[in-house]
Amino acid sequence: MKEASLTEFERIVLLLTEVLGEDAYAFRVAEEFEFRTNRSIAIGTIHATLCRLENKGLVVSEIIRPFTEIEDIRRRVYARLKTRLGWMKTERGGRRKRLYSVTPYGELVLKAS
Amino acid sequence: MKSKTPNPPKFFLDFFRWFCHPDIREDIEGDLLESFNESVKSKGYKKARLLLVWDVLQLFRPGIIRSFSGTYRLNHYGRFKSFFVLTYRHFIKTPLTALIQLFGMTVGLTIFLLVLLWIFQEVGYDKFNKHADRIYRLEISSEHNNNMVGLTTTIATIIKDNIPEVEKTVRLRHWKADQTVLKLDNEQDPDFFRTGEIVYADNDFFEIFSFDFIKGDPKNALKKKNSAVITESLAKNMYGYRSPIGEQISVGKGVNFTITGVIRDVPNFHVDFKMIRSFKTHQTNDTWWYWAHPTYLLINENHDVTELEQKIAAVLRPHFPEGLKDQFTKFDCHLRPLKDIYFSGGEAQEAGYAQHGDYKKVIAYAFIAFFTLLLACINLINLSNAKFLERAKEVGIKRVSGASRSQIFLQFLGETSLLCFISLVLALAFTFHTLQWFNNLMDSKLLISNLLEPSIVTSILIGLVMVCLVSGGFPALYVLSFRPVKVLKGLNVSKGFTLKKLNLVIQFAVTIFLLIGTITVLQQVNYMKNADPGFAREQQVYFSFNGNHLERLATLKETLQANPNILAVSSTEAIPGTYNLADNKPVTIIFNGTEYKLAGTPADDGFVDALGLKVVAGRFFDKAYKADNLIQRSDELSSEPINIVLNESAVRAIGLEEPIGATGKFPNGGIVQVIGIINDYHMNSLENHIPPTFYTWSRAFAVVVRITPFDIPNTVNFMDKQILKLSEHIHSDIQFIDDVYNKQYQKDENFAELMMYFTLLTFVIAGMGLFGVSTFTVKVRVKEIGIRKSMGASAYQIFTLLTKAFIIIVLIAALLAIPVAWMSMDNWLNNYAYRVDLKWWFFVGAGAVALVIVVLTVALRTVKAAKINPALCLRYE
Repeated sequence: MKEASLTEFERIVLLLTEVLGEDAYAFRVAEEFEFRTNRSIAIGTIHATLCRLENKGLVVSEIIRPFTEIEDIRRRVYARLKTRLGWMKTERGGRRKRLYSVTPYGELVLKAS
Repeated sequence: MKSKTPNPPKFFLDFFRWFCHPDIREDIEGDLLESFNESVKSKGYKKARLLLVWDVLQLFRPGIIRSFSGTYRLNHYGRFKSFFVLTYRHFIKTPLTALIQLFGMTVGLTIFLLVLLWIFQEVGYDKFNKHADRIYRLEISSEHNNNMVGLTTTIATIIKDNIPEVEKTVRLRHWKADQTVLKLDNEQDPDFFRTGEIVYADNDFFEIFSFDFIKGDPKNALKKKNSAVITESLAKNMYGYRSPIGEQISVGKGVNFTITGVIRDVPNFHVDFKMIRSFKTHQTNDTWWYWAHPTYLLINENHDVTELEQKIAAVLRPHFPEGLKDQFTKFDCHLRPLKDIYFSGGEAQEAGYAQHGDYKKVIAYAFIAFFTLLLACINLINLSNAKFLERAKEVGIKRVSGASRSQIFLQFLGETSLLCFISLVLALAFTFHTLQWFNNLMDSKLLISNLLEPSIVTSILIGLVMVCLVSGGFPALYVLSFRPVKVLKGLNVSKGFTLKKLNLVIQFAVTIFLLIGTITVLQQVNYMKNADPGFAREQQVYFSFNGNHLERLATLKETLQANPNILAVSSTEAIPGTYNLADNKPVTIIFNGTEYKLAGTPADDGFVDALGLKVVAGRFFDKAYKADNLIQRSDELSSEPINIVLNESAVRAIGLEEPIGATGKFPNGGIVQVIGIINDYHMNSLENHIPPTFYTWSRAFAVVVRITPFDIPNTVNFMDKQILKLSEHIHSDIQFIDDVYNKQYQKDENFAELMMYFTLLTFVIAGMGLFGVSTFTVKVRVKEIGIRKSMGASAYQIFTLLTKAFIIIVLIAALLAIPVAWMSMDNWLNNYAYRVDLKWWFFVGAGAVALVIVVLTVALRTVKAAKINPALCLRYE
């Protein structure tokens, strides 16, 4: 197994992902980061870092859709009709989430550092 | 009312959607919206918006921005991109070959573009007229004249009044000589201008021909007497950017013109002019006496032209006045369509007012352009083939990994097409820079903006597609012929007579053909310029002078002869270089019961001295013999025979055994007697035969003066002054005869020069192609050379081995080119009455030049290869 070299920031993001458990997606990570370190952070930074971690195999992501496929199509049709329906007002404007979870290898790396 | 959910800034969100990688787009968008909603709650709407903008901008970073290719997996963008990359890399890898390809193609396309422009101009003459299909020129044939274009002014009026099918008529009078005019807008500082050629025309001129008016009213521009319409270029010359409408110009002697219109310059009208004046200025009353007015008719649609011709003849016949009726007993009308006029040079008697093109020349240049382009294509094919062979492995791998044949074909076709396209862009730039030079050479008025005409753009595009298909298609097919399995094992070089060799043969055959052509044309032009014309060519001037003013002519002759620097003066029309066969109608004379057509030429007693001719037998006209002078012949001599002098050709044509004293008669009964014979001399260029001619002492409209070589400027000045002194209305136009005579060959010289450039360029193209091919051959055979050398072959043996194949190619090309060149050049020379003979050394010389160039080009590569150290090239396996 290759040695994973992590920057300080990457380690923090990895740690936060671990801490957040089932609710780990980019925005939550960013919020948590701001809450804990009292430093503001751009979502893009977190995203890029999470992508990098994923490429290194430290985290895996799965996509959570707020709607079933049929609902999704319906929603798009209605959006085109400019009808505001209940679910459009949901938290994320109906956008899907990408949830991250730390892989066993990631945990190993975390423990090692 | 605003909705409860606050709107995020739409523009930035769209921007984000645009640049974001589609795999992660929706996740991040969701995050952004969630964070936006949060911050709206905690920090307020405005701040939340700002925060979102800031977030979006921070997201604009590598890792998130989508790549601009490879995203759309369903398209072939990625593949196309790789084609471009491959093309670029191969270009960089073999820059010399690529540049040779590019240069050859650019030269080929530049010639193609220039000739295309020229051909379109030639073929498009007069086609700009909206009614071109309905405009006809009236020509009248009678017993003595065939297809006479110059008509009298009455004819148009009669036709307009009596034939309803004819909508409009216009009469022209053309002045070749330009006039000096005086601008009258500034009394203190009057400005002189040369007008260029002038046309007098009826008011309907602009109704019949479609000229673009920039200023002025086309309907009434030529209505009034002394009104003039000028072209844009002349207007700019004379008045700059000021409007010239209403300005007065003076041609001297109190005659003032008012400018009533400005038209756009038309480069392709068969009559050349810079200024049009109203016909009323030229002649107010219709007459029957001055046959000099080309007449154009605009006829109704759907009329049978032959019927109309007969109708016109029938209408005109009763109108002829008494004096003319007997001259026009047999008389026909002919309507020549406007579109045919430009290419009908020599068919009608036009007195040189119209410009003419030559269909043969158009075809010749089209062929040259085609062959140059073909050569460039062949060049490209050869070099691409050579280059693509090196990429056989690439093709093999692609085929093995599943690329279809069409994909590979398209890749290689596209690669060559890209090169062709770049060449076209370069060729456009070259055309832009060489157009002026080309115009001077061809005596044409092409504009670069002509390239934008739809028909030309279409032709260029068609040409480009053809070039791409030919020069890209063959190499691409060649690439397809590679068998993947074989290719992956190693290069396969086919032996025998391949496409490459065929191409080289074609290239060199064309080059040798053009070289032979150039040598022949140069020889012929030199021969014509240096041949003895039969008259003394130096120190002769001539000017036009109306021979009807007898006293003036006599005074002028006397004053001129008084000057010691003037040797001889003669009033004649047989001026070398200006004499036009079509304008000098042949006269029938009956000798021994047989009719002979001879060219009748007026001359006088000073003629032989003025032109430096030789009297072969008998005597020339002399003042001492009163009967010689037909102008001042008194009535008691009218029963005497008319004395004529023949030239040698006439004597030969008639076959007189004892020419001096021989008599003949005119069809009307007048008797002529031959008093002398003068030598043949070339009145025209050597393109034409010396016509059988007889000379009479009669009225002429020009004067030839022979002067001494001393103090020529002063002598000419003196003459100028004497001419102007005679009358206010005389315009002095002294010209040197050798200038005018040599000008006849300008056309041929230009043709020779152009041929020379074309040949040079084809040599460069072919030479470069050969260089590329030899480079490739050497590269492919480098191991063979190494083995041969290590087995003991000398450098010389290697050199001959490599060069032999190319020499054989040139020899085959020469064998192909020489018979074709012989036939076509013989054919071309037959246009000339006096021509050089094709000599063996034209052909051998051309072949030798080609051979030397081939050997030298090939040697550039082969010498290096022959000297190679075998250890170096055999080291790697």
